[in-house]
Amino acid sequence: MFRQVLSQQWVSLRVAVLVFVVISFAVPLLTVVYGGGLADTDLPRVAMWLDGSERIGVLLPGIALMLGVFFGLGVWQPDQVGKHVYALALPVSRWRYSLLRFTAGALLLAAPVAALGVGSFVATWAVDLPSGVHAYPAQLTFRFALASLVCFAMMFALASATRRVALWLFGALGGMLLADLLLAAFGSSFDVTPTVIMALVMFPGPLSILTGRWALFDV
Amino acid sequence: MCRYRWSLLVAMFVALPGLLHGQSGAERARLRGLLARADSLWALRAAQDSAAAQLVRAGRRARLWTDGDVAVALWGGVSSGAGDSLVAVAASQLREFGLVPVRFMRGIVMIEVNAADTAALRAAPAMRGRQPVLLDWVPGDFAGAAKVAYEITRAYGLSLDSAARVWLPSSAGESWELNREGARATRWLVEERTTSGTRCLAGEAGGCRRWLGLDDAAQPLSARYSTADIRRLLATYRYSNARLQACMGGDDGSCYKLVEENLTVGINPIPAPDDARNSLLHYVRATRGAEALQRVFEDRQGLMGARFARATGQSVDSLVLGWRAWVLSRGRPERVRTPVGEAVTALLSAGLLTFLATRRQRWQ
Repeated sequence: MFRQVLSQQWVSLRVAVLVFVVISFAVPLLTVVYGGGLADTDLPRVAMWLDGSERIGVLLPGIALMLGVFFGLGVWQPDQVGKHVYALALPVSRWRYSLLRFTAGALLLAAPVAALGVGSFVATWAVDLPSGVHAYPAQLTFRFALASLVCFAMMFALASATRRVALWLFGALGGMLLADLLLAAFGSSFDVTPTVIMALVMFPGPLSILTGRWALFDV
Repeated sequence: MCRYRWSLLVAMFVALPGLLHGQSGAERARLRGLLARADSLWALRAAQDSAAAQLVRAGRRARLWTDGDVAVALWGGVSSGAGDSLVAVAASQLREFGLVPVRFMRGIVMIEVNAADTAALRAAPAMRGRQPVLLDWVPGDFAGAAKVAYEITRAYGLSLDSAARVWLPSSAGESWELNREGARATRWLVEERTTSGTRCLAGEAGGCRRWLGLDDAAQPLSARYSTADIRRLLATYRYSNARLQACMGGDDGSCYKLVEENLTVGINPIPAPDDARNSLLHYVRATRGAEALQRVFEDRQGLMGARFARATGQSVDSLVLGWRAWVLSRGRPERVRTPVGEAVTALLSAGLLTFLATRRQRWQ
């Protein structure tokens, strides 16, 4: 049954998978587009080059987030279009079916992650690094895999939720914004929304993996 | 009406001597009346001027703003929000950097130059005994908080002993960011052309000690600068004199004497510029905490290198080599890695979300 679910998801997500594979492969290569012979370069130029590498690295959490959004929403799309008739016709419980969907989506997610790994290793081999500068292709790929998985799980859970849960979430978001407005009106310096966002993206928040260092090349 | 009044007064003063001479008694009485009127107008104007001056003075009357141990007297025109924000940000900046001890901050009160009548504020029980420190700040300046923090740090620097005072960079206390000031310190080190600086860049601890002025040499100048360094630095010096000519002509002794006797020729006794020394302070703070930074300047014994060593609990050599690596990596001690905690959190979050997504029974 897993093969059928996987095949169905591939059909609905193949364009997204291919686009993300290309992007994930290309991004690490952008860091070496300015040249590979850095061993004899003077230090200020290496520092500038590292800056560039870091800036390109900043794109990666964004790509992981997009990957999570597209795949997390995409895996449920056939069911939502078909009003869950296909799923209900199958002799499996809902939790097992959801798990199959999640596993199949996570497997498709592995393709862009692998492409990023390949791209990172190719970029590392293409450049002649000066002493003191190191490449971190494996670390970067591992981080990207974790970030994509978390974003995917989050969007997967949201997409599988009922309208009531979705309304509840939007209500909570609106409530936070309203609380901010009221607090500002009373002259308070406390903000609810930024505090919640910080709690999510700072360790031990679930999205803390998206922050931190994302450079392929560093000291 | 007012203009007419003053024109009349001026005309009266110009014409008065001629009018008084040869006038009849009635006319004289009329003129005396006019003069009395003029006197009263002058008195009125003086009273108005005085009232206006009092109004301006009242507007400038100092108001005290405090946040923790930081006390700042600003002129009365500063709004509540602006004053609160200025002092809070300055106090937070000082606390975050941690160089200036609380004891020192409790002993001073910043007085803004435009603030008037500050005596009453300074006489308040909470402010009694605090030394006034002048704050040259233009209200409305966005960098007001930074200026307060900078001036407090500067005042603290002036209270130190001579060795620390000379060593403490003037930029200490200014806002410091890794990507901006940290990168500038890297550039100084990389582009440095003095012998001590280039040796430091090459990784020699002694070179870093000398460049940063942390060495314990009896004659620091000759240790920190070679005569070739001095000649190169003086090559573009405009004002020639006999000693400079002797130095340029190859007399090494003249070169050192020139620098020792007149430090205004552009050669600092410490080769490392302010940015580089400031980065050492931030390195100590980042690796050993703000307490270590305070210990360096609380210590009044010996040379700066020894004070840094005592405060950080490591040798000067290991301190400067650590700083060098830190600066060259623009202050980034951590490499690209995914800590176990972050990885576990990510996996647990993904697992929990998946569990929540699968446990529901309803399809939509």
